[in-house]
Amino acid sequence: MRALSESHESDAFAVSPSYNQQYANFYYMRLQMLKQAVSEAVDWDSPHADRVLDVVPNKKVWVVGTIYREMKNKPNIIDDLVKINHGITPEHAEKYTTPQDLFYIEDEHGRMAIAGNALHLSQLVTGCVVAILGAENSDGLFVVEDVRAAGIIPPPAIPSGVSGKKIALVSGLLLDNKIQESPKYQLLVDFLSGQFGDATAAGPASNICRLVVAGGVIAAPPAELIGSRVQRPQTDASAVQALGEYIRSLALSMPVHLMPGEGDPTDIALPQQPLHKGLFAASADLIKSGALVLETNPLMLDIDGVKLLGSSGQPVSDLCRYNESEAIELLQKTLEWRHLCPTAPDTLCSYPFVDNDPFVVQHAAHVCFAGNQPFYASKMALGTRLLTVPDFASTGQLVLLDMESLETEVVAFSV
Amino acid sequence: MSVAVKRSPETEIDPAKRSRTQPTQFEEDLTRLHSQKGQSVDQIWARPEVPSDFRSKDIVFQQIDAEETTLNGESTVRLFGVTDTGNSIMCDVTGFLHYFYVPVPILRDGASEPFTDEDVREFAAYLREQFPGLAKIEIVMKQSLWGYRSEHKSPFFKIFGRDPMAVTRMRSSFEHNNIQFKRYEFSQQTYDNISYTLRCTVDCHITGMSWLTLPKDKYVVVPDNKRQARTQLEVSVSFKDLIAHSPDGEFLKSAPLRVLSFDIECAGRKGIFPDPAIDPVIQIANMVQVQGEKTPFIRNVFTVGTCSKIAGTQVLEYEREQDLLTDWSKFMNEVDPDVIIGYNTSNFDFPYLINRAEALKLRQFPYFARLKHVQNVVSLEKFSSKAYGTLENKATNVDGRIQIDMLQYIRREYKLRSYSLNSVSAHFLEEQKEDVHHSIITELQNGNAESRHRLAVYCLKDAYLPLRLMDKLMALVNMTEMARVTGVPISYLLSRGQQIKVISQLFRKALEVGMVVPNMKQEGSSDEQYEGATVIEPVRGYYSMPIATLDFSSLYPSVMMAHNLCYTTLIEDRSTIDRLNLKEGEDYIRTPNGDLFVTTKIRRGLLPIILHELISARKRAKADLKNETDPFRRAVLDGRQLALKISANSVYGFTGATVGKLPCLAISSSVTAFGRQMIEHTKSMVEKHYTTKNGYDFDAQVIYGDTDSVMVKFGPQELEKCMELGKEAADLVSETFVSPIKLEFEKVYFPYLLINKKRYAGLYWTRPDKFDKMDTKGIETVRRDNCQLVQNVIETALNRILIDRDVKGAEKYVKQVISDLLQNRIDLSQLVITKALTKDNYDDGDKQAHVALAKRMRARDPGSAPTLGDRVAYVIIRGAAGMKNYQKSEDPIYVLEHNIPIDTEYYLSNQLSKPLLRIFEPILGDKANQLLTGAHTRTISKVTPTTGGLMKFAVKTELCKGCKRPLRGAYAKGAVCENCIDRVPELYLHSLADLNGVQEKFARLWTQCQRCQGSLHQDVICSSKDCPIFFMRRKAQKEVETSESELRKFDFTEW
Repeated sequence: MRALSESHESDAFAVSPSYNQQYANFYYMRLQMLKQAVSEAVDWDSPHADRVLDVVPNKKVWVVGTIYREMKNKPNIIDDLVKINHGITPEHAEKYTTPQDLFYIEDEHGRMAIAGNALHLSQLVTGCVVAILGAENSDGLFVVEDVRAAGIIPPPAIPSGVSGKKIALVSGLLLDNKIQESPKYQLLVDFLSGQFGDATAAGPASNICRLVVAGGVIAAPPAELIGSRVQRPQTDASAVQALGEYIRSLALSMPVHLMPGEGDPTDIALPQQPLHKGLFAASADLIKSGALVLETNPLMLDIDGVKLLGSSGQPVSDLCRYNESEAIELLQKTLEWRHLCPTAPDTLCSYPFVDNDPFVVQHAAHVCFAGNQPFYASKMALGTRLLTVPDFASTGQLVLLDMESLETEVVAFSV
Repeated sequence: MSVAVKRSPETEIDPAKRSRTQPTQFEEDLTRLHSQKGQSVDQIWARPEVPSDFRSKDIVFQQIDAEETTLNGESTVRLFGVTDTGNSIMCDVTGFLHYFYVPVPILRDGASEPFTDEDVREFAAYLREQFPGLAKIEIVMKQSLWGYRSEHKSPFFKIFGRDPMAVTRMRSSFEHNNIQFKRYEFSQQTYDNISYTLRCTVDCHITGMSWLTLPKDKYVVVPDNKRQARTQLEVSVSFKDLIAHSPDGEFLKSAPLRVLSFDIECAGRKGIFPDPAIDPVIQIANMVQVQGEKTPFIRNVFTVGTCSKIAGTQVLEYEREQDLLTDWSKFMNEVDPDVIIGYNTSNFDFPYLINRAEALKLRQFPYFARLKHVQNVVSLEKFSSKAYGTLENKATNVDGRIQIDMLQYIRREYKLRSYSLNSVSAHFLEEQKEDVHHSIITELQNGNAESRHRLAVYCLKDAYLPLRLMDKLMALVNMTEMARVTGVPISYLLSRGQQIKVISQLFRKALEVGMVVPNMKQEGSSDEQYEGATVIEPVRGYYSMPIATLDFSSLYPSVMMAHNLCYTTLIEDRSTIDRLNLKEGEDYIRTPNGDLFVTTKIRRGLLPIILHELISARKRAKADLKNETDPFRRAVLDGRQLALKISANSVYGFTGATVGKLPCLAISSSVTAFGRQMIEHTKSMVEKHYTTKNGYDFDAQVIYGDTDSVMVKFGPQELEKCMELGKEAADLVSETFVSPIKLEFEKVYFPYLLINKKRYAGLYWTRPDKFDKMDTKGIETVRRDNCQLVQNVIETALNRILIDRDVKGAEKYVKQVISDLLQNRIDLSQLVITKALTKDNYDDGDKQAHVALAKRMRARDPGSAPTLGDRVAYVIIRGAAGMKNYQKSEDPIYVLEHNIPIDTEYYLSNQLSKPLLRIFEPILGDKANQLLTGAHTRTISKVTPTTGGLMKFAVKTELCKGCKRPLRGAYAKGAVCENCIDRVPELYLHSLADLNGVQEKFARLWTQCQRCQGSLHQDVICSSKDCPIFFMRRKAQKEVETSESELRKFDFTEW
């Protein structure tokens, strides 16, 4: 029953890094890839301005472009350097947004300041590609009346043959070499391997065919300021050892898809590449057999025709700093914008892509998840299950997803 | 124009991409500017119409400039100004004759035989024979300003000339003793030598930037066929009929002056500074704002070639450069600005435009002054002043308009590390500015409408920044107030020294009291020195208790007032004492310098009166400021009080200026002598009074004193206690001084680091609950030939010592930085030194590091080498033994690309050591040296260069990341050797940490530049070497590639 087929689309997020270019092309490609989809989503009667620069005063038009949001509290490296050079650790605001945020829309030709209803604007973030309807008023600002995004791509019907099967999702394990101190980790292993003491609880576990670990696997030490130099934290080798052992104990009961996340020992730039297989030398056999799959973050996974698209949560966590909305709503926004992490590279570290923006959502997904969120939330949007996976280290929660109904439930381990 | 910088190689721009990626830098701002005025893009250039009924009313206008001219053979002062309805006006003030004074002579034999009316007529005839320019002679009763003899006035000839030249000739003839008339013996001393313009404005009570009324039936409107000016109104009025208003009450206001700021771009050739004979002007951006308003109402850019739409901005496209220039000149005259500003316009933009127009034979171009027939001409001005040093500047006349080059203004008023527009904007406006090198400018120009659009936005920003700087620094407001206080036209403030301002005030006051000012021959030399202020020898050290500071407020002005020191009170001729039976101490005083001055009982000095007026006016201005709510009037009043303060303080300097107009060392030496005496007196009084013997807890000690302040260590640890003692001591000592001299308690330093004379640092407290700031004097963190590291280290060490009061922490920090430096862990951008390549040092300065580097770079690649006017950035690299430091300068980019080792020893011993020792010696004594030589300096890492010398022959072998042994055989491509294979995870994690650090840095740096340039979709082309992240972002790019390839090696290791 565990012989499920799986296909990897995570190659979409494999990169061969090159740094000979700046970020302009990244945005350019994003706009090119999304322009048409956004235009097609528009149902306004007003005429269309081809370029932002073609907008003329007092004439109602719509135009497509990339949003830029100027925010005072956004971390600024020049300010940080001043502090670091004076031996002071820079601190960043919890929220980037303030009531003074300024909004712009730009395309490859120019930029225009926009204003309007706070409801419309506050939803927009740097890097999302949208169509806006409105007119340049006599004050010279483009007043937005309405906004359209490309919209969620409706997924195809759930394929047959997945009835009764479940996928487990967990994130934020934050392992270190002291995991034995918290019993919930052992409970998780017991649960997934069906050895749970309670007979009723063993029921759901027996249908679980996969575990997706959505990042946050290692407790990363904080950066340190020495003199006037920031010392990047080095992950403790013993923590990696502990991770290897723990993941092995999980992968022995079912295939594990292991995604890296924030602070985990791989690149910091998105898309994060899979953790190095050398770090799991003791589980080389499991890797070979496919029981332990080292994945990218974000990840596009197809299990028996059910498509999962998700990240370890950095994109959504970053969006939360632009917004007062709940993470699950922002996750939905990313699907509507058809972009997994619009705020990269502005406030989210990313590679400078040249001829592609890999984060543009081109295919439908049945499930879209974000890991390492403060709490579990789940909702359906146009046939797609949206899911925020809570941080295990603090909540002790695991999420189960029914592959057929896309229903989700939470299993909590607490003592 | 902006000071341009070399383009960095990192931003290779793909021309195909150029065509689509287009700009927007501060289009955001432009849109917002636009928004606030709600105007269409077709902006109205012309001034408002002159009201049709103006002839039936008085004309009231603010005059902004004055110059002399000859009209129908008659000397005239030409005033330019703006009415309160915003109309420009030129007003010729007619009928005023220039004059000077000479004493009416006595007979050779000493017999007193008065000059009869007949004699005067004959004398006039005699003079007219020699000097046809003589207008008339009068006899008036006057008194010389110089020296006290008696209260009596004596007769003077007031000799009028038809024009200023005649006055000069006649005066010179008297001074050379060429006047022979009857048996009279003429004095060679003449009086009142002052320019015609100033003479007229002094006599008419017109001060700079003041308001005038021309009564409706008194002025004459110049008929159109005789008009000379481009102003809307042109009138003439007799000097007797115009009414001058003092700048108070209603007339505090400003007319709606039009301020135009502009910037030009020219298309230079690679590696050569633009030459007007060859390189075209391709864009001119203009912003026009009404003084006092917040946003410019005209924003436009003239471009050669097409240019895409710019939000809120008028784009004027031209096929030919000639037409652009011609139309710009027309634009100037239509807008008719009252004030023209820009950045480096005096030395670059104006001369370039004028020379370019000449090269193109555009004869109509150089006529944008306010006088129709006056051509704009570039001249070279050498300007020497004790306060400002010798400056050589180009100047272009724009008669009738005020010209403020913000670069020159800021140079005069502020001491900064760098004066590039980037640095200045970063400093005052707290924003980085994109800097596009002139070689890129040509590329953008040769692109398409959108690349030129990008250039235009850049050019507009450079036109807008001077306006914002002017507003932020209150430049025009403060200069206006200085002109009003001192009486001189505003144009004198930038083009002339300090003295003219005092002279103007002195003549105004002298006229009021019937005195005349002797025309002293300038024969002093600047070497002639007198004893200056006193400095109480500092008791050097680190004080961890409060140090109270007692200050004499306005010391020198108050000394002059208290002791009535003036030209008019000086007793030079000691026989006066007996002759008038004067009593010492009552009728006159003897200064500590031994000079004698009469007291106010006999005569009140002119300088003390001027000072008194300045100081009471300042008090009034400050009081008004407190009650004023209107922001513009507040700014004016603040500018006023500042101008008054500066003016009061410059009076003393004027009397001591040995090469000046009216030096009087008896005054200046006496002032400083009193000052010294008072400082000494304060010291001894405080130290005698605050003793344990007198019941205090401690014996007070004066640890330092300088010019007008005394630092007292009272002893107690508590701030409140010391503040109380300070107040008490100030009052106690003040009582012993003559009013208005007053010792004031202002602040406490706690803690206080006294390094040496005029060098100290401390936390500055004016109230006991919270310190105001950290105050440092003479600690050269802003020296321009220091690298950023020095400034950061010194500032941080001082913060730790003074604010955190953690000397150990400061030591630890300094040691860490030095250790990092020696181990090559300091970011290169912190080691960069930047200097401008100017003509002077290029010709004869091979021994300067930046000049030597420029020449070497030229030999390497003439295309990318810095040229005149560029800012050269360099670091000092390790060189062969015996190489001089200037030979070891290298381009930071080149250093990054070739891994060239930095001469860390140079940075330690030539840059860091002196300032560090200076701070730490008072604290640590001899142990301070440990900072530079301790154990932390033992580990030194050397970088292997990837270029030059033996590297060509070396075979590159990779080293094991664990044991650093060369990797061989099967392990050659991997990361570690067979012995270290167990440590692979640890070593991998280490390399990963490196990579993550630089990945994040790369992303944050380049996105920061995108934010700054205001566009996401276009490449960053800025090459501002003044920007703190310019080199860092290049370095991050290099480092991230290296780190990636290092990490990749682990893929070739089996683990």
